[in-house]
Amino acid sequence: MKYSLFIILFFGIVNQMHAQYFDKTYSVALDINVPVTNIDYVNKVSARGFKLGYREMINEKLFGGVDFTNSTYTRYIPRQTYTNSTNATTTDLFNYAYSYGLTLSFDYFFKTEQKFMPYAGLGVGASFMNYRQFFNAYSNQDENWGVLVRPQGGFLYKLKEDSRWAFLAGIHYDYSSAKSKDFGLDAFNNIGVQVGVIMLEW
Amino acid sequence: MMRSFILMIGLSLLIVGCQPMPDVEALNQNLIVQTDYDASVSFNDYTTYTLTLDTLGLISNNSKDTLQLGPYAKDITAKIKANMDARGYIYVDKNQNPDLGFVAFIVNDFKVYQTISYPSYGGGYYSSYYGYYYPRVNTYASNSAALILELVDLNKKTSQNQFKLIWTCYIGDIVSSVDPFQKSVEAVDQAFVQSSIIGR
Repeated sequence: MKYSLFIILFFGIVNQMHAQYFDKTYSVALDINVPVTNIDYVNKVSARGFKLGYREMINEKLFGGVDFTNSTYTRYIPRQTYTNSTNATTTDLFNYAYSYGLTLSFDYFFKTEQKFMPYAGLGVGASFMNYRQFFNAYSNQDENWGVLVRPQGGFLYKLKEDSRWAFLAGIHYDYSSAKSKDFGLDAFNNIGVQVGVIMLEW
Repeated sequence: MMRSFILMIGLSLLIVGCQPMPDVEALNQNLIVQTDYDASVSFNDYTTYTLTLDTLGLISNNSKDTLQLGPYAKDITAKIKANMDARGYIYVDKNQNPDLGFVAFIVNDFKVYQTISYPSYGGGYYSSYYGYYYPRVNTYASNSAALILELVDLNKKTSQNQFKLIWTCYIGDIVSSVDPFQKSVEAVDQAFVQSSIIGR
């Protein structure tokens, strides 16, 4: 009798755990990016970017929400002389591109409520690019808004199945239409890797 | 949980607020040297020039002095003279009717518009500086100072009764430079290197 009661209680608890279906997630991740366009202007890996994400469940496998991202790209151009007609300028240049993105994002989870949960998604939203060029005590800058499109994929990994936390790893490709006429720059594209944590709420 | 997330957002916004910037020492390692000249002038036609040795002009909001003396002025003017002599011009005194006047002065804490131009990255020109009509680099930064070099044709005057400016050079920022003395002297050399038009 005691044994039967234990089994009933055990499966009751297990069933209750399975019923704890997460319907909201909050994520924060380190976002490491490499520019793939405008590399004459910036060419270094951006290692200090980050992503903040929020999702709500639309159905069992589809989640929708917002992502906010930030990254900074740089390039140093050693001292040289630039000639333009009668004008000549000698300086070294520190090129910077500050990138901010706010997207409406949707992720499709191929598996949920497991330790390993792969997903693929798409984000569409606004991109703000601040192109800034430093030389000695001076700087030029050009700020532009554009459309941001971000296909992305990755996985969540929970150490325990009932954990409210999971590790997040993903890759993404960003297309930003925020060009710079002043600097002669085209649409800004980059590839990124995100590593972080995600909080699951139910 | 929401509290933790708000904290994360706060930290992230803090990061955003602190946009990474270049290292200040690296930024100020070298001075900018910008030159421009009047393409309608033949620099071969001039023979003599004059220059006030050991003295620089000074325009400053912080000082009523109009002259800068001392070792800096001495070395800068000596370097200018060495370059002008090397380009084949003959130094003469002011009262010996020189063809060219070489003017060197410091602009300190003097707010003017600043821009830079070069190929590929675009940019533009702006100048309403002292009535001259040549493009140059200027700055809004109130704590900066620039060394300005100018060559004027002493035989021609503009409609505003000013000597005609035929070559100009902007060197800055000499305040934030890691070694303003030596870097300024090097910058004067660079001004001539990138102005091959000057010479006989």
